[in-house]
Amino acid sequence: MTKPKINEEPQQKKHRFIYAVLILFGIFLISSCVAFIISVGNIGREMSVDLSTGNVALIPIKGTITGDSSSSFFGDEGASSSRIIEAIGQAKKNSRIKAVIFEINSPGGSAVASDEIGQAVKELDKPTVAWIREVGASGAYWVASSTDHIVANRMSITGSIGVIGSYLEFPNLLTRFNITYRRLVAGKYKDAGIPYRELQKDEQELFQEKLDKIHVYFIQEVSQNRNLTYNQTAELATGMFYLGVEAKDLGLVDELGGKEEAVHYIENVLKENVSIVVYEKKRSIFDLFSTLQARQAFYMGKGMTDFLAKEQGTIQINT
Amino acid sequence: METSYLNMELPRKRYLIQDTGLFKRGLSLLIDLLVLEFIAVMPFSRIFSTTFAGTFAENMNIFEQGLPPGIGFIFAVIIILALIYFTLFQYYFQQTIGMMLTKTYAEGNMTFWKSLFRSIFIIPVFPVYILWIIEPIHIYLRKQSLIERMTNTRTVEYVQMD
Repeated sequence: MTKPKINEEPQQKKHRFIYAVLILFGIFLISSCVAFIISVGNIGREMSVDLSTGNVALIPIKGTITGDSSSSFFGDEGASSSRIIEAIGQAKKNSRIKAVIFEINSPGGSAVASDEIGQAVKELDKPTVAWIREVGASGAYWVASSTDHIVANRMSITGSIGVIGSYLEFPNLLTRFNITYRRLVAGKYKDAGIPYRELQKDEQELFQEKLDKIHVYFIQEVSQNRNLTYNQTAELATGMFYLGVEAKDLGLVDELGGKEEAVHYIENVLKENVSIVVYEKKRSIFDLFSTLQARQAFYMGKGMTDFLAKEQGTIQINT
Repeated sequence: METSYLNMELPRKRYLIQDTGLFKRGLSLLIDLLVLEFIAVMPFSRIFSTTFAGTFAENMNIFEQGLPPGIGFIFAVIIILALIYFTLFQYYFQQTIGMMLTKTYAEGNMTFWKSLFRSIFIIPVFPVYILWIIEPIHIYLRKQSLIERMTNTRTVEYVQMD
């Protein structure tokens, strides 16, 4: 132990309070910036900052199924197959995740996108459950059928195993306003399906043939996934939708219920408690601004057009 | 001879410099941890409350299973900020906030590297966290920590005499 010394109190440095506050503020600023970056989510995902702690991934499939994310007027995005497949990929890579629940509330959408998601689900080597909420029809049912187990509410709308390619045609409307469709094509069927002229009989037959082919693929997938014969599935594939309770009797869903039943199924398979982590793209502050901006622009345009139309007295816009 | 009281050389206060004991060191460390809680940990509180939202048993389960990589990253950031705090304060002021309040000082030729080395006890990795057991014992017996012996520095307090 050193001997105590006798001395004077050390002189206080000038401005030490200011420097101390600056250092504290600097540390606070750095930690706030890092927390903000992680919380925003999108950037956090690019940095692969994984905060998930659960053992079962819940991947929502909400809205119309499309190939890429597309914004509606109100900035809402449907079920993008790119994003869903990315989420499935993350669940596949994450060793913590033992199973996946797909929360489906979609009327269907693009056949290609539905098939892409369905394939990705089948390639996932972990137990999967489709939990159908209000609607899980058409392409959404295609995805649901790819899972190991389907749970639907007794009143869920499901089925609708069919393909649609309908569109609006208004050549007479154009004629009424003295607008002419000038056809310039190289290739007989290049403008087949264009709404400015009538669809010809041979073109309709051509389109119908394509739709029938897609329909066959759809039926094949469902029959394979649900262990039904092709003919059994074809009988059900009239495009008719079924309530959950009807779908269960027909073999299109496995169980009636909700999230609890889906979780219970996984617990039975995994023989462990389930802790769910939602795999969903977080809406960043930039997405919110984009949505607000889109809504503002829409209503501005509506207001202006409504005002001008009323002045001219020709067009009235009602929503 | 005229004598102005302003020219009189009055005796100044005298202080006894002695090594700081365990209690004051512990108290100053607690105050520093409290300061760090506000400046380095609080910005992440929302993330922690989301991640550790379950019961105590569920949260302990998370620790047992292994922390998510993101939480580990956040902990690493907090530890680096704590290291910066202790290093910069001891280097520039020879005192942290806690030491200012307990009127203790880091004495010795405080270079940047010495300050940094004195601060490494905050890192919770092997073998550093062994110091959490060794240092209090060493301080109790020798009034100086092991790291202080290695850096040739001391933590002292000034006790006013009479």
